[in-house]
Amino acid sequence: MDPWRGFKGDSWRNRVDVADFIRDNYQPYYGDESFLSGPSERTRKVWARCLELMEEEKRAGGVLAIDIKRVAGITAWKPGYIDRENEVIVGLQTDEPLKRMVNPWGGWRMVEQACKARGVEPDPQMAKIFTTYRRTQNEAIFRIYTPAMRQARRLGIITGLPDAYGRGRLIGDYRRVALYGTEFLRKEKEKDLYALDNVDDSTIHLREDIADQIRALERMAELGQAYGCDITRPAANAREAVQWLYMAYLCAVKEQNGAAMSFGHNSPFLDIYIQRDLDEGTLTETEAQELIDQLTIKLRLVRHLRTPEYDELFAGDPTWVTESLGGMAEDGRPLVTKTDYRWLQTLRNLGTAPEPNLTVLWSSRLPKPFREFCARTAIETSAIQFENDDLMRPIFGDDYGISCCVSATRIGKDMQFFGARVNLAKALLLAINGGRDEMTGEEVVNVPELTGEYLEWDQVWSNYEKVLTWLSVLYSRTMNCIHYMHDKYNYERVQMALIDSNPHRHMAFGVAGLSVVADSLSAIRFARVKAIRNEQGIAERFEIEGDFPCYGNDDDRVDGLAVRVLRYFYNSLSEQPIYRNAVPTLSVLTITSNVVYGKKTGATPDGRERGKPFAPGANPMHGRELSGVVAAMRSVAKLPYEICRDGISYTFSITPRALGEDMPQRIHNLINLLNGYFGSGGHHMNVNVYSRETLIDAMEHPELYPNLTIRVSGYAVHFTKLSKEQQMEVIQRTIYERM
Amino acid sequence: MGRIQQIQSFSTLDGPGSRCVVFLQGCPVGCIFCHNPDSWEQSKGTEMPVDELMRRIERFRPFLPIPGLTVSGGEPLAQFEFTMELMRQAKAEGWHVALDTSGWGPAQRFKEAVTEADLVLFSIKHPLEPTLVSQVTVAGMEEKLAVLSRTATPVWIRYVLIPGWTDGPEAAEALKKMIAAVPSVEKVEILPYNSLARDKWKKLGWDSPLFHDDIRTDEAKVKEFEKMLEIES
Repeated sequence: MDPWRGFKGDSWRNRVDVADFIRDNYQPYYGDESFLSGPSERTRKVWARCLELMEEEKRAGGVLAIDIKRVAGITAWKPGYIDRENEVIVGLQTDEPLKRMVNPWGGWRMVEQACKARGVEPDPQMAKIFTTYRRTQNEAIFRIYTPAMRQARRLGIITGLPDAYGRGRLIGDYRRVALYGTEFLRKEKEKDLYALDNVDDSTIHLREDIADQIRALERMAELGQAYGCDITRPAANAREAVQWLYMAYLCAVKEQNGAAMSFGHNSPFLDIYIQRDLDEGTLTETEAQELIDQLTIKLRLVRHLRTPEYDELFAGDPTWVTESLGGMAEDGRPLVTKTDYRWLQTLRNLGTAPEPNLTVLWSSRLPKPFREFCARTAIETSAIQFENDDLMRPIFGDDYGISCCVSATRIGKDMQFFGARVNLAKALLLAINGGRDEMTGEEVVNVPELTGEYLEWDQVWSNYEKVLTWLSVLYSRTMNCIHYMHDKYNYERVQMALIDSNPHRHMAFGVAGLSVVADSLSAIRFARVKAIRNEQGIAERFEIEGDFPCYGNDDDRVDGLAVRVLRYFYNSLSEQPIYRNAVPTLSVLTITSNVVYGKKTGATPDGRERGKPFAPGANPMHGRELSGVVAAMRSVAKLPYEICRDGISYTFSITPRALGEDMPQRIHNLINLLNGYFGSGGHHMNVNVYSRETLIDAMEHPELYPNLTIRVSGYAVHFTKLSKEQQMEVIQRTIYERM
Repeated sequence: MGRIQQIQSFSTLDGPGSRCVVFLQGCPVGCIFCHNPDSWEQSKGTEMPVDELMRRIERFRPFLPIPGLTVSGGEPLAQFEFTMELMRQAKAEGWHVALDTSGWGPAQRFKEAVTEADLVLFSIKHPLEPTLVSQVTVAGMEEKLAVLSRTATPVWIRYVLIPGWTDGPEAAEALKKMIAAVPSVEKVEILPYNSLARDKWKKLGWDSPLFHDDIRTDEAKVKEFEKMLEIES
């Protein structure tokens, strides 16, 4: 049977162009959710087995099993199943569900730490190979780090760097495998390879990349064969399209343990296949839903072996299988299909869960029923996030997806070098303390000592500029080291095989502690701040005399300071040479690491005590947003997306009653808040609708809340999987309510 | 110039739809159940002209498809001139304006304010003995209800239910009669008392007789009281 039967358009047939295929063939859906179907019997059975396994995993302390004998790879394991006769979509990372892989390419030390934390001894022979014969990413990076880089990392000035774990963030265009089959893709890559015949460094580098990609495509086909799927050819129906798509993604997560392994923006694509089968009478709605439910089950089973240090940064075992929904096409049609509804329905059919990380690309022009369904789902589950399609589409076109938490990426066209973030609050303390680290007294950077008891705005700002300039140089150089070595020793050949051969590269820089810095600068500028210094001259705490405006109240005086810091830092970064000519982007995002960053940071001039958590992402500090949610949203929306193209994360929590009197009112009000926020230029919003009492009760009785999912900065987690410290921090966040 | 305690940019609890609320500083009414006691002192707050206040709230408009403003407090009528000017300007800019008041002050001023507002949120402290829980007198209250019954402005009655204080059957009966006498009443909100503001009171070094018992109003009590009033929530 012709796999492309009935498809329209030509230009996508002879060259790889999935976006064009979608434009020619997808059908927007303007109706409501009434067509949706519940879970099939087979789905129920498979999912019931998974729930048992996840319960066992939890009882075992978070990791069910580790296969220490094999090195992670596409074809390292024989096929594995959950419940073979009821699985409609097949394929597991290893040969058993939830069994974790050892992935030593990133670094052997991490394998050791992760295994030991779970009471498992790593395989001595593998240890020998990866410490004696084969250099790893981690080892290579640490060999070339300068003392200054090590110091900044150790003191927590530059943090969370992907120098000890996979950088992730790459989204392969997994749809390509379904539309074209791996054989066509392999031939196209061969053409690209032979078209490059220069012998300069960068060309040879690229040729080696493409050669690796070709090898990956061959391996992917082998894996397909082992599972009885001939993915060398195009998918011929909806089940095959879902299966091929997943098989391609599976190869990526078999080889790579990147922090975020996102999935893309697949609904309009899959919907074309589903709709064709529905029209041909070979698929029912229940079966269509079953495909998406079973795909979702597989995505919820993705696991990586992490170190305890990593878990502290990114709590709750996240994998960021981010899947983008909705959005508008550039031709003005909504990109909303029935399959977008089917994705959201998985939260009902399988219950709420953090993964996949469902992300709605919001436009005020989305069809009303879809907006309402998304809002209702957000209110009922606290499991989805929203991003501003009207802001991103003009920059990224309409075939983009969200990578990781909040970062837009053109599917199959862009790749990014993930770079975690710097601690802006520590940088400010360096400026205040003559360049010495406030926690240890170590000399870090050469800036003048401040004079006088009180902090003088001009002096502080002048020093801060110096520190930020120094930091941008150090940060970009550190990133160059990391990504050079990551490319060399831990190259993502699977994802890159599904991205154009010479992609557009972003270097994704980031900042944490923005609201602490904005409020601190505001206190220095608008009130009087006395530094109480110890005998070494380090400011140990600050006394504030008078009032000052706080970020989060729609007050331009302080919001402008936040913008000023971002602009200054981004401009400095832009002046630095960047590996492979990548374009710098910036994020204001923390994941759950706002707790760790806070722990490593001394008292700040805004009155925050030493060691206390930062607000997450771009959020105002807890308890300082006194003017309600709209004012807070307006403050966040002032942060300039044009320089923060890696994303600006805002997490919003409200009690059901404060959002509205009943469900229709709540839906209506949430839609208005989303329209208002995005219409004001806001970029991203996590929506949480719950009461503080629920969280406190869940802390005390976790067994009663196995599925309680909440949105933190850029992703969702099971609340009960957070550490006590992180739970406390979430509880202390501002939850809008009224007495 | 007015004295502003706080601007709340989003509320679903102070009038219809979602709206923003301006809390004016200063309140002579002294309710023992007040959840906003730091708004009492007249000399606190931030001074601001009406223009500036309007500029601030105008920025919230994209979030409010039907722009709604509730002027609350404190007691807005304690800053009568400012409240009138604010209501006039907001209405001219297309805002739906609700006045949240206990009716403090002379009846003539109250009438002017009620006529200017699109909606009045009128709080009755206690239908028989308002002085038990506030500085409102029976005479003052009756005078204001008479004004309301003679104006066309829609009214929402608000009543804080405090077990042992305001929840008796006699109170319910009297309240019911009062409400029936005002034809423009659109809605009656029975608000359950809670002690969440206790910390605010303590911070000010104040005490309320309500703090001596563990008083809490649950949903069932509210329902029961509503039944006595023969209203549905």
